[in-house]
Amino acid sequence: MSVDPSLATFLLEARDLLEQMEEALVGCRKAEPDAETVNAIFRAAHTIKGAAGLFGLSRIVSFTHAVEGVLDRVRGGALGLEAVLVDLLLSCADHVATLVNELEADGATESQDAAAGTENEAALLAELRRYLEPERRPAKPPAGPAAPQRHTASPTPATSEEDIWHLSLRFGREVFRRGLDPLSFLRFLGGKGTITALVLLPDAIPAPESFDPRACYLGFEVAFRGKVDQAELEKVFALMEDDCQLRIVPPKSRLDDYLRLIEALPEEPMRLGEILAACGSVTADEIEAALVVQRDRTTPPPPLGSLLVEHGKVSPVVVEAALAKQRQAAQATKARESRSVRVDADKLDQLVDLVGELIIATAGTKMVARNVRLAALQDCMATLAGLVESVRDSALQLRMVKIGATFNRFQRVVHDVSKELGKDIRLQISGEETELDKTVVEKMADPLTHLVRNAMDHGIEAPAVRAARGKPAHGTIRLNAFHDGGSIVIEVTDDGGGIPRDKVLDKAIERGLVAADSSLTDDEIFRLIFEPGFSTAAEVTNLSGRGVGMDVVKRNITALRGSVSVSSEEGQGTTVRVRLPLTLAIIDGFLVTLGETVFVVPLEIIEECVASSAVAGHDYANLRGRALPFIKLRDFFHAGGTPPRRESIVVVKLGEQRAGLVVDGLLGETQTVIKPLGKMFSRQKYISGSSILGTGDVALILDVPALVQEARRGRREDA
Amino acid sequence: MTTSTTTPGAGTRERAGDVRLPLSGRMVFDRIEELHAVLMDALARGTTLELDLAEVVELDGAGVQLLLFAKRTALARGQKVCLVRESRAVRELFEQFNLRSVFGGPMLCLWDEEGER
Repeated sequence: MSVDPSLATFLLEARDLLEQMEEALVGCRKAEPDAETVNAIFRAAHTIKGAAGLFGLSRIVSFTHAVEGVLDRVRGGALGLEAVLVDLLLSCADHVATLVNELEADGATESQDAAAGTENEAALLAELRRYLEPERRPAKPPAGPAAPQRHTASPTPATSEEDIWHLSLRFGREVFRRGLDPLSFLRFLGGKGTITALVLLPDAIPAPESFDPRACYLGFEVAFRGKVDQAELEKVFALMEDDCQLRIVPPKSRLDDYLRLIEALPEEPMRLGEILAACGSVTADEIEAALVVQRDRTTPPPPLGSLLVEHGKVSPVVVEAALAKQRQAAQATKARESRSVRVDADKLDQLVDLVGELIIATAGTKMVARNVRLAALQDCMATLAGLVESVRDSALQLRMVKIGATFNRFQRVVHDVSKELGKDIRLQISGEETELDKTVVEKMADPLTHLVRNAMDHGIEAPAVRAARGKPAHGTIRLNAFHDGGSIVIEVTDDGGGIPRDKVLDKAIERGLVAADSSLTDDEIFRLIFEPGFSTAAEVTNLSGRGVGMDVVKRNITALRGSVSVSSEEGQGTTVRVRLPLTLAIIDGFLVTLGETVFVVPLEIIEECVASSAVAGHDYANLRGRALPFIKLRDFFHAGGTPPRRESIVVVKLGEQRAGLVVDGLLGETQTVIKPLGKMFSRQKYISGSSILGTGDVALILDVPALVQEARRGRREDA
Repeated sequence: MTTSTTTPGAGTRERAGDVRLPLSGRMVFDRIEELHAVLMDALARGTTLELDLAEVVELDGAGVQLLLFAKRTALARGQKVCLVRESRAVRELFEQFNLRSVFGGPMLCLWDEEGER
C-alpha cells in the first residue's frame, strides 16, 4: 500500500529522532547528563509530537505528550534523570517506535485497537504519570476523542472525524455593504464541525487615508474538522461566492498543495508576537508545541519547522517573521540540510544494476573496437572505459554508509543486556567513520547483535569472578571497524574469560565433530564454535547458549562473501573478527583460464602472478626462497585436458596466509559485475558467483577462501 | 466612572496625552462610519488611546475590522490603542474568533495598571 510521501518523510524523521533520543538516553546512564543532552531528548520527543500532530496521529501525539511532560520537568530541574527514569523513557521510545512501525505496516493507519501496544501503553502512561506533578493535567489526547482513524493516501474527500480541512478566506470589499457578515459565515461553518483554529488576517486593512470603514478587508485562515466534503464547504460560502476568495485544502493533502496555497496568499509580515499566537492556532496541540519551540530554542528543529511551514497552517507571513530572528542560527543547519538528499535505496540499487550492465556493454564494445583495429576508436574506447569506471565508483560510493550508526545502536543492546545479566558492561566504539555498502550493513546487523550478546553472555564473567581475577568490576565490549585491502574488518572484542580451549575440544570430540586423537591448532579449535549445534555455555540463558547462533552467524557472514575468525586468550578475552567485502555488486576481477573455462579471481586478494616453478610431484613452489603452497585448479576441479607447457601461478593473500593457484593462462584485469548463481548451483562450494564477459561468455568467480581452506584440509587428510 | 450612553465618544477622558474612549451599544456596520469618525478623532488627540468596551453589546465583522484598523493605525503612527473592560459580548467574540492574539490581552494597557492615579 502506498504511503503519502509526506507521511513517509515523517516516518523517516521519527525514526531518526527516536534513534537520537535513544542514544542520548543511553549516554545518560554512563555519565551525568548535561543540559544539552536533556534538551536533545526533550527536543526529539517534542518534535515527534509536533510532526505527528500535523498528521492527526492522535495516539502518538497523546503518548509523546506525556513523555514530553516528564522530560520538561527533568529539563526544569524538578526531576532527576535517574536510572529508573532512563529505563522508563527508553521503553517509551520503544513504544513510539512500535507505533511508528505499525503506522507504516498498516499503510498509514493508526489503529487504535492494536492489541499489541495498548496494554503496554497504558502501563507506560501510568508510570509516566507518577513523574508528573499531581496538579498537572494528565496527558490527554489534545485533539478530540481518540477515535480510530484512517488516513487515506490520496486527498480524497472521504473523510472521518479527525480529518482537518484548511480554508483560506479573503473577503471582497463589498461584503459588508451587501449586508453580509463574514463572522456569521464562520459561525455557520462552526456548526458543521469544529473550527480547530482560526487566524484573522488584518493585513489587507489599508492606511487611514484610504480606509473605508464600510468596505471589508478581512481575511481568515481556518482549520476545520468535520465530516464534510468539499462541495458542502463551498456551499457554506456560496452566498458570497462573488465576494469571497475561497481556497480549500482538503485533509491529508500533499505538502505541495499547501505550498501552492502559501504562494497564492497576499499577506505582508505581521508583528512577531501576533504571529506566535497565529502559529498557535495551527492545530490544537501545536499551539503549545510551536510556542515552546519559538521560546526555547535558537534553532528550531528543522523537521517540525519545515513541516509547519509546508503545511500552510502557518501563513507565509508567519513563517517570514517567525524565522527572521532565528535565521542566523538556522543558516548553518539549513546549509547542511540542503547538502544532502534522501534517496530511496531501491533507486540506488537500480542505478548500480544499470552501471553493471553498462560495464558489461563497455567490455563488449572494447573487444569489438580491438577487432576492428581502428586506432581512433580504441582511443575513444579507452576514455569511455575510464569514465565508466569512475561512474561505477561514484555509484557504489553512493551506497556507502558509515558504520557508526549501526555501532551506536549497540549502546542500547549493551545497556539492556547488561541489566538482564546483572553485569556491569560498557561499550567502547572505534572506527565509526569506516564506510561500507548499505546492504552489507543491513545484513550484518543481526549477526553482529548475536556476536555482541554472545560476548556479553559467555565472554564477560560474573562480577564476582572478575573481582577474583583482579579485573575491573565492569566488563568492556569493544566494537571496532577498519578497512583492510578491499574488505572491511569488524571486530567484537571482550575482556572476559576467553574461550576455554580444552572445553571446546572436549565438547567437539564428544559431539563427534573431530576425532579424539586429532591435534588441532588453537585457531582450528576456536573455529569449532561456529560448527552447527555447538555451544559451550554451561547453562542455557535467555540470550544465547541455545546452541543456535554462532553457526548461523557464520552462515550469514559467508552469504555476504565474508569470513569470520576468532582469537582468544584464556582469562584475557576474545576477539571475533569479521571480514566483509565492501560491496556486493561489482568487484575488480582478474581473469584466468583453465582450458576453455574462464575464472575470475577477485583482484584485491591477488599479490602477484608468476610463472610456475613447481617441481613435479610437489604442491609447493619456491617463491623467492619461501615455500608457497599451491592448488592446481585443473586437479581440484577434475578438469580434463592437458596443461599447457607453461602454467602460471596466481599468488593470493588471505589474511596472513599466502597461497598459489595454478592456472593455464592469464587474461588480465576486468571489472566484474557479480551475477548470483542460480539455485541449481547453490551447492557449488567453490564458486561464489558468475559474471558475463565482454564476449558474452560466462566466467565463474572463484571463492578463493573456501578453495584454500578445502585444499588445506584435503592435504591434512592425505598426510 | 464612564457615562453609559449610546452616543459614541461621550464620556471621553483625557490626561497627559492619554485618551480614554468609552464605546457602547452596537459596534456594527450600521453605525460604522460614526464610530470611525469618533476613533479617528480620539487618535488625533492622544498618544495612548484606551477603548473602554464595557458597554458594547454587539460586535460584527465591520466592528472588529474597525478595532483592528484603529490598532494598526496607532501602531503605524507610534501611538497605542488598548482595549479595556471588554464586555461579555466582546470577550466571547474575541475568544470565538481567536482575536486575542491580534488585540492583545486587556492586561497590557497602561491605564489600568497605572490606573486611577
